[in-house]
Formats: sequence, C-alpha cells, structure tokens
Amino acid sequence: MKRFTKRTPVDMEVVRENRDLDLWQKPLPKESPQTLRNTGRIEQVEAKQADFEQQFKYILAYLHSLQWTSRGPSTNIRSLSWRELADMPDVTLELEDGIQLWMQTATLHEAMQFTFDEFILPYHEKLSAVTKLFGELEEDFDDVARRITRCAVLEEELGVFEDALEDEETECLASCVSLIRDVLDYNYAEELTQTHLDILKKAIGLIYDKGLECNKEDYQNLHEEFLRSGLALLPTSRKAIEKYEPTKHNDGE
Amino acid sequence: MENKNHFFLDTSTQIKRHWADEEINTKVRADLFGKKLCCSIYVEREYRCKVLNTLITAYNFLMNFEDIKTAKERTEKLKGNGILDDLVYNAIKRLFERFNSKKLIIRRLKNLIEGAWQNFFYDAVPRSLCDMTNCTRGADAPQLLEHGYYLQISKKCPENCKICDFWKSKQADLQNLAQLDVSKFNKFRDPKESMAKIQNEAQSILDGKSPHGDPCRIVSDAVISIEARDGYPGITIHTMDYDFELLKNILNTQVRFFKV
Repeated sequence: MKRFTKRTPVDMEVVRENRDLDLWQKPLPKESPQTLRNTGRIEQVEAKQADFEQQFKYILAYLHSLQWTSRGPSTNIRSLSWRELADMPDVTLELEDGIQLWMQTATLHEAMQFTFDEFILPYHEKLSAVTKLFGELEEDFDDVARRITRCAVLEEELGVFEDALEDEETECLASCVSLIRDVLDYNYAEELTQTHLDILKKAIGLIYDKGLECNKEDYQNLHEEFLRSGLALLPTSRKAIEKYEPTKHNDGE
Repeated sequence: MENKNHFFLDTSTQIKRHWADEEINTKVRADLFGKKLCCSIYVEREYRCKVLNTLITAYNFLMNFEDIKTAKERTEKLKGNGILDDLVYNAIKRLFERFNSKKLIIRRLKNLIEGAWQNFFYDAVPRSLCDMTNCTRGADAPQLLEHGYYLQISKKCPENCKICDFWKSKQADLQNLAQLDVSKFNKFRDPKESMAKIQNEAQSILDGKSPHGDPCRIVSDAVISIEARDGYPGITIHTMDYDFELLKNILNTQVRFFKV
C-alpha cells in the first residue's frame, strides 16, 4: 500500500529553510516530516536553524570587523546575498581557523606578556635597585657607621638578585653578581678603601650595562681585579670565620 | 748570587697565601708583597691535584645529596685521610654554613672549578712558568660528566713526562741526595722522616728504578728545589714546608722558610 504523507506548511518551511542550510554547509538528516513529527525532532531542527542564523550573524560581524574595518565602512558585505555567502567555500572552516589562530596569538601574547612581567621587568628593577643602593653607599662611604649598614643592605639585595638568576643564560651575570656579593660578605665594610669602592663601582656598572651580555671573561677580569686589590674572595677572612664558623672564632679568642 | 726579592713559590706557599685562614694568609701575602714572584708547572700540577680535587669532591657531594647537611657530613668524613686538602676544605665548609640554597653553593664551587682557582694560583705570578719535567699529572681541565658531575683529576702519572731525563741531567744532585746522612735529622727536625724517604728513593733511582710515578712524588721537594735553583739562578724558594729548609744545604738552594 502506497503511503501518502501530506506536507504541512511547517514541513515546507523547514525544507525551504534547509535548502539554504544545505548549501551553507551541513545537510540535515533527511527524515520524513512524519517521522520528525512523531519523534518531536522538528523542534530540534528549528533550534538548530536558529543556531545557524545566530552563527551567521556572528560570521557577518566577524568578517565586517576583521576584513573591512580597516578600509572603512563598506557595502561589500551587504551586496552579498545569502546564497553567495553560502557558496563561499569552507568559510566556516576558515573562520574557525581564524578564530583558532587568533586564540593562539592571544595566548602567545599573554605568555609573552607574562614572561615580560615575570622576568624582564623584575630583572631591570633589581638591577636598578642594586645601582640605587650602591649610589647610596657611595654617598655615605665616608661615614663608616652608615657605610656598614649600606654594605649590608646592598649585600642582601644582591642575594635576592642572585637568587632570581636561575637560568643557564643568566649564569655569567649571576657569577658576577655573586662575586660582588662575596666581596661585601667576606670583607669588613669598615676596612674597605676608596680603591675598593672604585672597583665595586666598576663591577656594578658592568652588570648594569652588560646585564645578560656578561660573559666568562668579564667574570675572570672582575675576579682578578678584586683579588689584586687585596679583597678576600674566599670564606677564609676573619669576617667569614666569625659569621660562618663562630665556634672557631670564639675558641681563638 | 742570592736574590731575596725574587721568590719561587712552593706549593705550600701557593695554597696558604689564599686558602689558609686570614690570620695566616695575610701574613704570607704581606711577606710576598713587593717581591717578584715565579713558579713552575710542576708546582702548578701539585696545586691543581690538591685544590681542584677538593673542590670537585665537595661539588659532587652537593650534586648527589638532597640536602646540604648530608653533603657536608659526607665531605667531612673524607677530611684528614688525604683525599681532601684540609685548608681548602675549611674554606668550603663555610660555604655549607653560609647558604641554605644548594644552587648558590654549587654556583660558587663551579666558578672556582672552572677557572677562578687559577686566579688564586697566578696572583702576581707570571703565566709563563718554568718547566723542566714536562709534568702532565692532572694537566687536563676538569671534566664535566653527564648529570652535572665533575670527574676528579687523575693523580696517576702519564708516561709522557720527562722526569727520567730530568734526573739523568741532575745526577750530581741525585748522588748528593742518596748520600744524605739521615742520622743528622732527628725526629724533632724531621718529624715526617722525609729525608730518610728521599734518601732511600734517590738511591733506588740511582740503582735503576724508574723515577716515574710514586717515586717522583716522594722526591717532589727535591725536584721543586732543583727547578727553582736552575730555572731562576739566585732565586729564593718561598715555602712553608720545612723539608725545603732541610734540603737547602744538600741541593745548594736559597730558602725562605716562612713560619706563621
């Protein structure tokens, strides 16, 4: 027996609307209106259609903002018909790719921003802080009591800075920083001379000017210069013994 | 003619002028201040073996153990048995006390191992060193292994040195050493009985024993004395090792035994 199904206006509407949707990209499952009605899926189709319409609005907005904004208001988009737009090959895929690319770029940008915030800025900030503290030490150098305090603070700051320089690419800079720190830690501030201060100034200038460009030669030269000036660079000085081997120091007395 | 303003630095002076505690090192450096200094490759090799191997051992323990305390204890156990140089270890143990962070101690030790040690050796000493023995013991740069460990410098003597030629050309000195009257050196003057050992080894070399390897180390003070005397005529050997003082009349050297 031949089955006859009467097409309702609703069904026709669906078909008419789906004609564009088919052309657009995704053909809907071809099920009879009867079945659709029976299963209640027509509502789902309508919802899907609404989604597509919404999606299309987004596409238009996106294309408008992305491609034609820079050229000023354009009527090109308006001249495109629904079908012409639907005939555009893989526009959704391109759009998805575009969005994905944009997302990746945004993530990358965010990561770069993070790196910049977390590494570059503190690094410069710390260098500036060290330089500022050294300037204060220079100013107060003649006042021995204040010099002792300035040296202690500078040594602490250098310690914080050194701790931040963990990576391999910062190794030479870290070595120079630790060398300056050793000078302040192993030598009594009250025994430093103007010559020592001049060499310290040179060392601070080196790490400030060269930063990550510091190399092994810089470290070696700095080490030699400190050594020649008579500064203790090993924890064999009285100050180092007092600080790090108090038992021995007390026994000696 | 004796030159009291030109010092040849023995290994003991070389180590103590920087690695000894300030009480000693300042006096040594003050004694050397204003003098023309020199040294030899043979001394440099001895220095390297002592200083670098102590630094490397401490470094490796730090790499090996999770916490600084354990690394320190393990290093401490090796002290006094000849594996570590006591003076160098004393300096290193303060680094263990100073830092809470392994990373910072390791960085400092690494800097010393990879080059800074040379500054302490060559401080005011010209880089062109006298070399009569072509000693290559421990001549290689510290070798960095996988996982960040350093391999200790080998104390074995390679075969390619010229110590045999050296002693062939110094037969008179060798005979003088072999004829040493060790009864002159009582336990007070020579507590380590070094002269007896040197005399015995010199006689063995004269008898045909190879001076290469362990014998070379036993008579090392004599080698250094002869290098200084013949490499820099008129020079004074600056030492903190009394053996040089005992050898000076036998080898006809000028010695400044510096006691702190």
